[in-house]
Amino acid sequence: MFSGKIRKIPLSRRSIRTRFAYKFSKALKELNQKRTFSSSLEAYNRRCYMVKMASYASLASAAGSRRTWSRALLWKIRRNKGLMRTNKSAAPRRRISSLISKKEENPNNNGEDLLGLEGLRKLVPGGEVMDALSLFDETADYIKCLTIQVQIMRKFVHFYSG
Amino acid sequence: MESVEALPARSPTGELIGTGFNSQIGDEIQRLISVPPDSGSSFTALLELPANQAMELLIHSSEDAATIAQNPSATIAECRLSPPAPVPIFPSDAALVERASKFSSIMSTDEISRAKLGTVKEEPLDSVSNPNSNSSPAVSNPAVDQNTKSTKRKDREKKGKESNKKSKKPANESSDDGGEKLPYVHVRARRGQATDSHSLAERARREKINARMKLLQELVPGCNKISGTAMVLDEIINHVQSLQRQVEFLSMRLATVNPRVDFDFDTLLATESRSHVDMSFPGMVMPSMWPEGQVHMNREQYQQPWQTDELQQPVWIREEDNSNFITPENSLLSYDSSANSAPLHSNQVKMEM
Repeated sequence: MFSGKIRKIPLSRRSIRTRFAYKFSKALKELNQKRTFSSSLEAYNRRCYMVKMASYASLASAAGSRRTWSRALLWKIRRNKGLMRTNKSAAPRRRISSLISKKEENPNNNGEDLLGLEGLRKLVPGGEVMDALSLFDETADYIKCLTIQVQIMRKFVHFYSG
Repeated sequence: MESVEALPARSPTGELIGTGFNSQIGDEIQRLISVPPDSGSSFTALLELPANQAMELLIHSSEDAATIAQNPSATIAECRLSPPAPVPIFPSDAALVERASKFSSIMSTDEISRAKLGTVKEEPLDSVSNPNSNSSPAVSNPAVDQNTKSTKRKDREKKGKESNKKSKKPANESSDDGGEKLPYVHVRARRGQATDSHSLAERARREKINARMKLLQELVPGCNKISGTAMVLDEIINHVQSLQRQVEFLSMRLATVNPRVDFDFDTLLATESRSHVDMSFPGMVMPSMWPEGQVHMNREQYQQPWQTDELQQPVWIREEDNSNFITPENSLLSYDSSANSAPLHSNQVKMEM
């Protein structure tokens, strides 16, 4: 049978889209089980944050540990676990980036690259410690994964809102 | 004045060495008086010798004809030896060479003294190096080569500086031609930045970065038309930011949404596997597309066959849970079960494990 053939494929070998959807749905399930029905603003903010972190974490684990950005993302999420933060670009990251980029970028890039890369480093998780080459690599992969994340999350929203 | 005094003391040694050097004191005085000896005359004197001896003398003195012009002491020694010495007088080449070396060394000291009196400043250096060349050629020739190399290097440096002033690429080309250490020095000097070496690797890396930039340009929509790295980078950053903002917005939506239906991953996966693999399930619409009422309708339709298959299902589902795969049929099933149907709810629980 047709479905019998497909069933043998393990999740690890399936597309990143599938893995992300699977993990994110699991995480949402857990969140819904924990959910308290208090309608306060704080609870709502916290819930937003949790959903976002869940999506990022599932994206990172779906992307696998081969990528630097996914590792950095997971590490940050685990470190910030339990903290309330709506803004993802947290303070310690900026400190690190300002320290490292000054050291690293000066010999490598001319001026116009410096400006752009500075912004890119802040956006791509783990980008503070990368040189320009790997930063571009990671950015490309990160953009791909982000688009997948947005697509899948849109589907989720679509599904929930009917 | 010292040389004039020194010459009579040494002339007996010259008499001891050579048989035909009787009138050499006068010759030497004459030659000392004639300030810079012509290299051409020395060559003609060399030409009078037989070929092998001339070659010996050439090798021991200095290889380059151009360098002979720079160091006249050796040529002087040769031309002093050669005219009075006919071929049969020298029995062996080795003895000749030794004597010649001794004599030339003596004469080179004379040369030094004469240079101190004030001829040309470059001569003493060469005449110092030349006695070494006459005594031990293995040491001397590299020294001569080093001298020539150093001059060449200086020339290259000058060239490199000129080309560096002009533009960057010619500098790199000259670096390819010349030694490896030179270009790096000049690149650093030009930029005023202390890079490590490896300007070649640096350039290769920059090319790689450009390739990555092009890849990113293709990845970001609407970025192909833009030229200039700064603009492209801005566009990339904007794209990433917009994506992250979308994620934030979507997570807010997901947070506000009341999940009456415990969302099951299978439905989404079903849509994906349908879109990826196959469109050959005409009866099945994508569950996420269904409006609420239609779901109930369809549930009524599809629930019967699944309930008849209920004996199979636990095994079927468990296996599926292990392999982490969900077929479209199953997605329908789980969707229905999670939504409403009581008899299938146990299966749903198992799946959540």
